[in-house]
Amino acid sequence: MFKSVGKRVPRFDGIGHVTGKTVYPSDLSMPGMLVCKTLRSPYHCTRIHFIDTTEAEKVPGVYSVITHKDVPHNLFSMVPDHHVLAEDIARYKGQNIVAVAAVDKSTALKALSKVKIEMEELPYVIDPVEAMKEDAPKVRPEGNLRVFDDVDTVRRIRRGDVEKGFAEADYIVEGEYWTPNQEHAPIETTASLAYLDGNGKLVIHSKTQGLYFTLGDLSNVFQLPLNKLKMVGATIGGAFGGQNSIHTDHIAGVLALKTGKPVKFHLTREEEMMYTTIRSAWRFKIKDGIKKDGKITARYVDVLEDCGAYTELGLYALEKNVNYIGGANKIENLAIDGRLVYTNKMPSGSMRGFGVNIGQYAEQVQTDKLARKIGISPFEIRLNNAFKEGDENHVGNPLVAVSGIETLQKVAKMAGVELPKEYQEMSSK
Amino acid sequence: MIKRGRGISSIYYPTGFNGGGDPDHVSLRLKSDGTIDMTNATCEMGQGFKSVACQMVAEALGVSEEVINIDNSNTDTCAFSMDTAGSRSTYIVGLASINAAQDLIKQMKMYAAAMLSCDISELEYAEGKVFKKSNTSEQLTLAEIGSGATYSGKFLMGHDGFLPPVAPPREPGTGFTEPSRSMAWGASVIDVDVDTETGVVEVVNLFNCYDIGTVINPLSAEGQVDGGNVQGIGMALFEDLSPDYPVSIEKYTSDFTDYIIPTSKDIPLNSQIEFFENYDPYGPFGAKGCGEMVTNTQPPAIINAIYDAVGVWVDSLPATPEKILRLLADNKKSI
Repeated sequence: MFKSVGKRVPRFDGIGHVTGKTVYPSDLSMPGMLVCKTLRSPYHCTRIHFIDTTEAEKVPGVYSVITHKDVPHNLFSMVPDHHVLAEDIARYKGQNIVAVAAVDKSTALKALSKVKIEMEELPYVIDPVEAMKEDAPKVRPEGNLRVFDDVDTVRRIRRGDVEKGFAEADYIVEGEYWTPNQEHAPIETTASLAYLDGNGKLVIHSKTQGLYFTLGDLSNVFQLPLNKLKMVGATIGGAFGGQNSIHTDHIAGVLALKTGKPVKFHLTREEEMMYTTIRSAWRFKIKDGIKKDGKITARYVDVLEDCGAYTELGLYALEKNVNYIGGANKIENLAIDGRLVYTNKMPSGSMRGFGVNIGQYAEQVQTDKLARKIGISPFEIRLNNAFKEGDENHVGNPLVAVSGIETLQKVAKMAGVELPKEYQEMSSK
Repeated sequence: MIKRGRGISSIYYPTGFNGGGDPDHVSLRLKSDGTIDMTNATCEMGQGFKSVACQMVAEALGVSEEVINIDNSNTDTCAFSMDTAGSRSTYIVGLASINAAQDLIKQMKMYAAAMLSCDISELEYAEGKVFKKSNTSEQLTLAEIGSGATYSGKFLMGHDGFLPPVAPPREPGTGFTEPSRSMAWGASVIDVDVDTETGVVEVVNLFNCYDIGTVINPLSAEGQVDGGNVQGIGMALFEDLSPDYPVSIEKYTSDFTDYIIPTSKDIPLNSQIEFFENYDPYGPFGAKGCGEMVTNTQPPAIINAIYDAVGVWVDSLPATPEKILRLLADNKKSI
C-alpha cells in the first residue's frame, strides 16, 4: 500500500554520527571566543544583600561580569517566574547569581572568586509534604501550593460517583507510591555559543531541543525582535526533555551582547546533573474499589508533584498527569486530586514520558495488587477493564484506534502465555 | 537464592502536546535537478526524525526518499516547529508534510499547464510526474519542471502547516476536556531474576508490543524501543539523584559513578519487539506518536515481576538492592 512508509530506511545522518564527523553545539569554537562561568547559590534558599563585581572586573582577561541588573528582561521560562540571574532571593542550590565572560576557564573562575557577595541562608524546605504545611518556609512569595484557575490549590477530575463505587466494591485496596528525582543523562552536556554577526544580529548555537520553542522566551530576555536573533543547532547529543528548558542560552546571549565577542557557556557534567531541570519527584496515593469478578468500581488518586523552586514545565506535567493517571481502564467512578507544591530544589523540567509514566508506574503496580487481592491473573484484570473503541477516557476524551486488548494479547503470545480462549477472542472493537 | 518472576503492564499514551494547539510548518522547494529541499526545525537528537520526515514527504509525493533533503538547522530559514517533544514530530510534521506536498503538486501543475499549453484541470500528478489525463505521454518529470521553473524565474516551493485541534476549555467541576485525538497503546511482559542474598535484580526477558499506528520506519521505531528499554530499566532499578529524598537532598549525585544508568550488560539478550499497527484515522498514513511511550511500560512490569519473584512490593522507585533486602527482611519479620 505504501512505498516509502514502512521501509527500513537507514538513519539520514547516521554515517556522520558513527564516524564521529557530526558537529554538535558543544564541539564549536570561534576565534576570540570567551568562556562563561557562573557563580551559583551555595544554599537551598539564599537572600542576596549585596554584590560588588569591581575586583572581579579588574582581573586581566575578564571582559564582563554581569548580575541580574545587566539582563534586559530577567524573567523567563514557560511560566515566566524564573530569573535568568537571581535577584534578591535564590530559591534553590545552584541557581545562577553572577556570570562572567573571560579569555579562558581559569580566568573566569578567578574572577568569580573575586566577586564580593553578601548573602544569608534562609529557612528552606525540601520535603513536598512538609512544604504543604501552613508554617513551612515560603518557597515562593505567592505560596507553596500552585493555585489552579485562580481559585483552588487542588486540580480536580471528577467522573461518576466514587463513594457509590466504593460502596459497591467487594474490596478496597490502597497504595502509596513515590518516584525519585531523575536525571536525563544525555551524552552531550548543555552548551551555547553566542555571538554577534557582522551586522549586529545575535546568533546562538544551542543544544536546545526546540529552536523555536525557546525563541520567543529568549527574544524577550534580550528584548530583541525575531529578525535580530537566530537560533542554530537541531542536531544534538540527546535531550530526553532536558533541553526544553533554557539553561545556558540566556546567559551566553546577554554576555555576547555585552562584550561583542563570541561567548561559550558549556556545562560540566556536574553542573548538568546538579543544577539543571530534572524529572522531579512525585507521590501517588491510590484507593481502589474492586468486585470479586475483577471489575474496578471506583478509583481515587491523590497526586502530589514536587515542582522545585520555579514552575518551569511542572505545571504542564501536572495537567497532563491528571488526564491519564486513571490508567488505560474503563472506570466509571473516578476522582483525582492533583497538587503542585514548590520546594527549594532545582525546577521540574520535562523528561521522556513526561508527567505520565511516573503515574503509570503507580497505577500499573496498583493494578497488580488488585489482581492479587481477588486472585485473578494480571492479564485478566487488565483485559476485563480495558478501554474499547469509542469509549471516552476519564476526562471525556473520545478514543479511536484503541488497542489495549490487542497489545496485551500479542505480548502474551510473544512471551508464550496461553490466555484462556475467551480472552484470546476479546477485541477492542 | 535466585528467584524468577514475571510482570506485565498495559498503558496508553497521547500523541502531541497536552491539549493540542501545537502547530508545525513544512516547506518543500523543488530544485533544478528535481530533488527537493524540505525544511522544518524539529531537532534531531537521536530519535531518527530526519529519515522519517523524508519518508513521509516521499510518500506524499510518490517519489523515493532519496530525492528528499532536509534542513532543520536554524530559525532564519527553516519552517516553524513548535518543539521536539510530546511524541509529536512524526505525527504533526507528517501531517504538515502531506499538506505541503499537496501545495507543491498544485504549483507544479500550474507550471506544467503553461508548458503543455492546457488547463490545469486536464493534468494529473503521480509518482514524480505531471501528465495529461488524455495523453499520459505528454508529461513533465520533477527534473524537467525543476530546471524549467528555476531558469525561467518561477519559484516552486510547496508550503503549509498543521494544527492539532485545540482542546475545549476544561469543565471547571469535572476537569473534562479533550487532551489528544490520537493515542498509542502498549504492553510489556518482563521476566526478572532476584538474588535474595544481594537484592540485585536482573532483567532476563523483555517482550514489548506497541501500537504506534502505521510504523513509518521499523528500523527507527525498534531503535526507539531499544532506547526505551534502557531508560525504562534505568528508571525501574537504578536512577536516583537524591537517595535520601524527601528527608534531604544533601546526598546528591553529580557523576555517572554515583548515578547509575544501564549499560549493555543490563539489557537482556532476549529482547523482543513487535508492533500492532492499528491505523490511526487522524495520523499521517495512520501513524501515532512513539517516542515516549516505549520507555513507560518497563518500570511497572519490572516492579510487578519482582513481587512475583519474591513477594515484596517496591512502592518507591528505583528498586535498588538495598530496598529489596530491607523489604525481604521486613517480610521475614512479619512472618
